[in-house]
Amino acid sequence: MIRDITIGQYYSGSSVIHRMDARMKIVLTLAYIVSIFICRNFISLGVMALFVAVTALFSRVPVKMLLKSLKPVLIIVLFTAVLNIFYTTGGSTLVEWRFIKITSKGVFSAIFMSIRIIALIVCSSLLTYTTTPTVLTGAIESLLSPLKIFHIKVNTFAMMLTLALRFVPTLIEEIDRIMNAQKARGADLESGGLISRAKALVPILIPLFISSFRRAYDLAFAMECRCYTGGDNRTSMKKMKLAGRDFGALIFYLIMLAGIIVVNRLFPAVI
Amino acid sequence: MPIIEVENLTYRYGNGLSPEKAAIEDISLQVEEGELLAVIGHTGSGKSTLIQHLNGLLKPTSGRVIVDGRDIWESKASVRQARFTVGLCFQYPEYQLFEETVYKDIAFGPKNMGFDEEEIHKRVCRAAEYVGIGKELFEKSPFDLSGGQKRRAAIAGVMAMEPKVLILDEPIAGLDPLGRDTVLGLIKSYREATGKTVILVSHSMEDVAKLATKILVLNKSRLAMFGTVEEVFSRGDELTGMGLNVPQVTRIFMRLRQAGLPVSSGIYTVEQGKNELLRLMNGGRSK
Amino acid sequence: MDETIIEFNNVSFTYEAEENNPEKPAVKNVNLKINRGEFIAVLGHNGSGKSTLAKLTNAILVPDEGKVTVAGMDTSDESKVYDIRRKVGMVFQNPDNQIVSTIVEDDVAFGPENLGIPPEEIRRRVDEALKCVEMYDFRLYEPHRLSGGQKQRVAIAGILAMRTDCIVLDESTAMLDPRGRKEVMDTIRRLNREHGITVVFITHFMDEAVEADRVVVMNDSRIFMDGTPYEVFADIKKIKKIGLDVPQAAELANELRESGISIPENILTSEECVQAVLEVVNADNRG
Repeated sequence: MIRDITIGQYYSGSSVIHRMDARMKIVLTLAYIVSIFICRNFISLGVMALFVAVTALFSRVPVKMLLKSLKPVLIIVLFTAVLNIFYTTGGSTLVEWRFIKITSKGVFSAIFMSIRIIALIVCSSLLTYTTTPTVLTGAIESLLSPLKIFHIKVNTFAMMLTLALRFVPTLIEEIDRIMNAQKARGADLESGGLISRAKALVPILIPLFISSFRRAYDLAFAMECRCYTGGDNRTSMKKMKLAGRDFGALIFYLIMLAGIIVVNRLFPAVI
Repeated sequence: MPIIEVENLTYRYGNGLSPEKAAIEDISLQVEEGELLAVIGHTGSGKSTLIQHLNGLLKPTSGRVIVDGRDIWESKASVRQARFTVGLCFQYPEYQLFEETVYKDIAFGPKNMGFDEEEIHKRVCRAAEYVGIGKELFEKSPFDLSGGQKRRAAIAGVMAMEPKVLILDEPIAGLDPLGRDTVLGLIKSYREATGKTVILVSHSMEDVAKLATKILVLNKSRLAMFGTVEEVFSRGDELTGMGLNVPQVTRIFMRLRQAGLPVSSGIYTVEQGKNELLRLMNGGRSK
Repeated sequence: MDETIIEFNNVSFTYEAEENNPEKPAVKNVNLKINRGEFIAVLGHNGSGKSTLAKLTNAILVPDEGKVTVAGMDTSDESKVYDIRRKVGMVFQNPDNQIVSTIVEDDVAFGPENLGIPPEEIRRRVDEALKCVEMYDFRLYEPHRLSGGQKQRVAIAGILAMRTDCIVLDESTAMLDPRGRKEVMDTIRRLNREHGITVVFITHFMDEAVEADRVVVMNDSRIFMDGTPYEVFADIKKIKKIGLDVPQAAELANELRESGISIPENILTSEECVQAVLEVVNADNRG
């Protein structure tokens, strides 16, 4: 289950999308997420979906990887779809049985919402698939750097983010190891009610916390030995630079956004 | 009847993207009751995968694992039973300690098995004795113990389940020579006291050679050798070819043989080496 | 003339007393001079003070009594701390807990970035350091996909990229398998021979200490022995008394000597032992 989470997983490649400036990728991803909520009908949504599909194609990230990123949110998609089917009323009635009533508008909005969520997840997965976590945090640091005037320690924040990402796989391995060890001692993690299941987590969480503290302590030592002071005099090996392709992507996106706004006005809204 | 039988065991894994890889491939073996089997191979040879099959933590892709005469994947109950028949103590077991006191931590296994307080108490005391954890430490927090004590307390946690087969994965990893000798010593006395089967996983041939009755060598997911200590060590060249570190004295005798001396090939302790050389030299003199 | 890079002058250090842990000096009256370009192994078991000794070399710890100087700088001078750490880099025991970045080359760049070095120069140093430890082909890997030995080599590269004169390895092989230990040993030896980097190698593995130019044995917070591997391991009884191992070659030669065979002293490696035995046997045959 934990292994299914793909956020923070990098798929190495050298496509146009990979080579884009991470700052532009973040900005466009955020803009995309906002604009997908502006969409009011299937035409604009279709354009948006097409945009993400084309981006995916350019990135050369395998479809399998993208499907994998959808796996953990499948339940949310289904849940939203079901809610929409049953609770949205309007249009012609398709099925009516006792208290259940399914209308055409319900079905439409279910499909609409599902596409919306899927496009959203695919787009943000593309960001993390095509950008290494270090570059990503570097970009966040750079985007947030105006906050320095408010005396907010942006570089410390970025360092924390890098370390968090660095230790995700280590902690996943550790959880696996501890779970196996306690299972071998007869711990039952799979059955029982909510309370007994929560109790069964204690033998896993305590060793996990203890080892995490030990790691944090070791890491702090190691960082100090490598002259980390958290100050502003740090340099960076990889300098970020905006290139033609970044502006190209931006312009492309802006044109699409304008189109969506027009389409929203011209055609009737589905929801 | 063997206590553990493994028939054509294969385990494959994959992430759904690249083709599946075999962690272990077509392994068959039998472990007799009371034996001390050493499983040797370097990291990635499939050692950990193999032992996790013996107590049902992993399910074979194909093949069977029979523990105490019963296929462990026969039913849900038989899997759970296998966890108790085969006690598995993982590498760096001190990192699985979690209870408030040493006593409670050792009692965790027996408690999960559903014994009453009295039986649990007996088992905890016996296990603590095997590993040399005194009663005065029972009420201490396991996190206040020294490194070596933590390791032993964690081993006691598995011993207290009184499994018919005790598997120890790299029980001496990270220990200094004193800690190593203590742990190896307690394994020896545990066997003498209980007569139970022990499986010892290690990448150090030198340390297990002194204890093992049989050795199983894994290489590249497959069973490379399975035999008595002498049989395995007499194939020293193959072992070094697999990247395993044979004891220095074994290497010395391999070279002496290459130099044409008529010495035995299965030498793995200094004592054996001395006797072998004395036999040769004195034999030469009496000629 | 030999240039001293690290000097311990009658150094004592005691950790603050904790609950259940009475105050006891970790290092007591230590005098030690480490010369530039030397490969020195510090051997001892857990609690002997060897790790404390390591931490005193780059101002992680500061002596309670006496003085530690690195290239003439006193480690207790707070304004010099980062200058000292630019001279003496440290590699720790757990390979997972010292890698800060999600990509190998970014991790190697971490130190130079902290020193405020210009990007082009960092790039150059990172590539050079990765080539030095033979990890250049892995520069874009994520650390969690590397083996333990590879992770430690990345950690070493991270130190090299800071252009330190001296590397202290604090039990950096303790958690590795034999293959990983060999990788680290080979890398360190090469850095010492070809790049003149001073190496302080803290370990409890006797077979690693044998490869150093000089062995310092710590016992009970004090320096117990100090000399070349031949000098130190000549006194087998003394080493065994404090629970440390002796090379089997030395032990075998010693056993033979005690059984009345005339075999020369100064035997540490398998090759030396084989030669000595062959000489004795040939002399026997001739006589």
